[in-house]
Amino acid sequence: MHYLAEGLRLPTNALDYTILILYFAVVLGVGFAARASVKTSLDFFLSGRSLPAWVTGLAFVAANLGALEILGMAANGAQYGVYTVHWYWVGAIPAMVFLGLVMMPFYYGSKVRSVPEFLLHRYGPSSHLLSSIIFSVASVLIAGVNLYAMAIVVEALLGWPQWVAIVVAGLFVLAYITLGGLSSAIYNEVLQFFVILAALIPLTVVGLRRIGGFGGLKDALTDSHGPNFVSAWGGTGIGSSNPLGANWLTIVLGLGFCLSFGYWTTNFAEVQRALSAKNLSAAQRTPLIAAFPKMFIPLIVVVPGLIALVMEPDIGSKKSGLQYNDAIPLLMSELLPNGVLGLAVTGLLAAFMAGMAANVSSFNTVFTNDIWRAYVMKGRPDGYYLLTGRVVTAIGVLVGMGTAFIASSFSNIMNYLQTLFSFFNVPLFCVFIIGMFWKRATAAAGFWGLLCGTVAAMINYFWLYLADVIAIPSDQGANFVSAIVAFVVGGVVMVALTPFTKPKPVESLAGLVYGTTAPGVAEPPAPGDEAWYRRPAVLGWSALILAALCYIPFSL
Amino acid sequence: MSEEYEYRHEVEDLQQKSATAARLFDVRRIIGGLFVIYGILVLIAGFTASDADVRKASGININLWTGSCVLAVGLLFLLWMKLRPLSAPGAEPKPEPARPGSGPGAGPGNGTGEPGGRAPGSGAG
Repeated sequence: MHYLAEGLRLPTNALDYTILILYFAVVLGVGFAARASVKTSLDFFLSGRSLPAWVTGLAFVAANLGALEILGMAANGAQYGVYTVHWYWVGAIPAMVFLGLVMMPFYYGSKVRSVPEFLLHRYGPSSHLLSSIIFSVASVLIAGVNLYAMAIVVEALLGWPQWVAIVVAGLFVLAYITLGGLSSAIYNEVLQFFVILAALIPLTVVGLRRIGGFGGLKDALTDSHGPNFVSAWGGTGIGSSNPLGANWLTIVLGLGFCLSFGYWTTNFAEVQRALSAKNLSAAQRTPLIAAFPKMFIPLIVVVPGLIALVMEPDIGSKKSGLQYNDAIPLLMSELLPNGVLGLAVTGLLAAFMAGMAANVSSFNTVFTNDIWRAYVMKGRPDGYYLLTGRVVTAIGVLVGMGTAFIASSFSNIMNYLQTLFSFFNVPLFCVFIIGMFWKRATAAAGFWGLLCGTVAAMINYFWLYLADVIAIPSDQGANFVSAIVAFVVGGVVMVALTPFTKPKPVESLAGLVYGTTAPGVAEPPAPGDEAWYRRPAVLGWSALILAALCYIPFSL
Repeated sequence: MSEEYEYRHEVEDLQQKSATAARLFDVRRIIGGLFVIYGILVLIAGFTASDADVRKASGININLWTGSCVLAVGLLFLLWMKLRPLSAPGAEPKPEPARPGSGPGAGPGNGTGEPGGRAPGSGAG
């Protein structure tokens, strides 16, 4: 990512700033008001496992709808065309449904407080510590990426110096999470979700009107970029070339299976939202409720990217001085009058803060529970860990501010994030899925599977791809392949090691492996949970069918 | 039970003592309130929109449309909160903890939710 073009300065006025300042005030107010509800460490880290499904569901989708995602996916739209919808319909919905229907009973039912903690009970301390450390480092890195990206955008759009943006946003996030813990993070995410809709829907409507609706968009792009650019699967045959640099097999296996399942089912920043739900049914419904809005987000994120390409055909080239990441800021400055413009700026800043807050609130949980409490300071009273969580939050934000500059070497933010995820999450997913369905899988196999899978992905990306040992046409294509490599290597190592290492005693796996039940009674369902529209299976399967139907207009 | 499951009792205890369900305010109040204010602000901009504003937004008075929709969403949230309030603080029924004997795995020696009372009491029973 490089500097945004100078010409993007927005003509903001007092009204726009009023809207923005109101938002900051409310965010802080939520933090102060949520403070009264934090009595135990469970309140701070998991909202006391007490939130309703619609709140956790919207937070689940909003935690992913950070500004990096919004700007990055609009950028992918402008760069790769309609192929970008694969990140949603193949690359998110199936994994979210799988998380809700298949994996959530193990996560929520076993009462673990984090994704790494599940590893501790299923495998043992070595894989637990490894994944906790990797997750903590990755979270702080990504929080830093978020802050840096925000500072650049805010500097270009509003003219604030970079350090002002970093300090203001960082301190607000620090304040409201330290005060209210996960509850205030989640509440602000729900709020942010609606603010982003209020920002992006008008932007898309006005943009479509400018270029003659969906028909005009399609005609213009077909003329300039060919018919494959406006189709989801055109030109993805194996051996044929397309801008994405991937074929249908690497899209379905690499993006749709490895990357996507790795991200959505084992990324604690997401799973944490579901673990804070009030009962198992609500936890299962969290990713399923999130799947429905997620499905339609390309309409207000990818479509603006395409519109920007029509309005400014030179975007992404040296000639215009505009990066692909400038797609949405460009539309904001070209199309929105004051008032809605203020909403749009607020939505963008809200998305930056919420994206960072999701990383920070999951980081503090993993660091406090899975590193500090498990290995450094055991057996202290609960209040000690609550205080630790607050201190760790502050440290995490400050370190995030310091690491904000790593993002500067990639031209497309999404590539950078996907690269990180393919290295960390995919082998983790492999180890989880094998552990959940194969009782025999041993602690040693889990640890080495995790380590070898991660290392294999790094070797594939940094050595085989970047040093041109194998030919993959683009960064995205290389990500997909690295993800497949990570999954296969992790799985093979696990299967190969298991027969030679000592299995965990069967009685210690109750509730953690398919076919076993946790000791004690399940938490009782809430009244009303038996209604048909609240049944996880109904929600999950309708989401899958709807996502498949979404492909029809782009495949014929 | 063995110490393998100690963490589950700890989580159950904490969930008993948790204050979130009783004390956390209703997020619908925040969304509703903020969106009503935003709706009014943007609507005002819509009513006072200049020709240049409308021309910039491809001939749509986008502030008017967005303002009305945002206001409507805000009012809907407030209405929803009025119609289906959260249960009164304190009256919220807490989920029952696992009771000895109520599940196949719960041995008689389990603690009764007393803080710190669980680990030594478990075991052979």
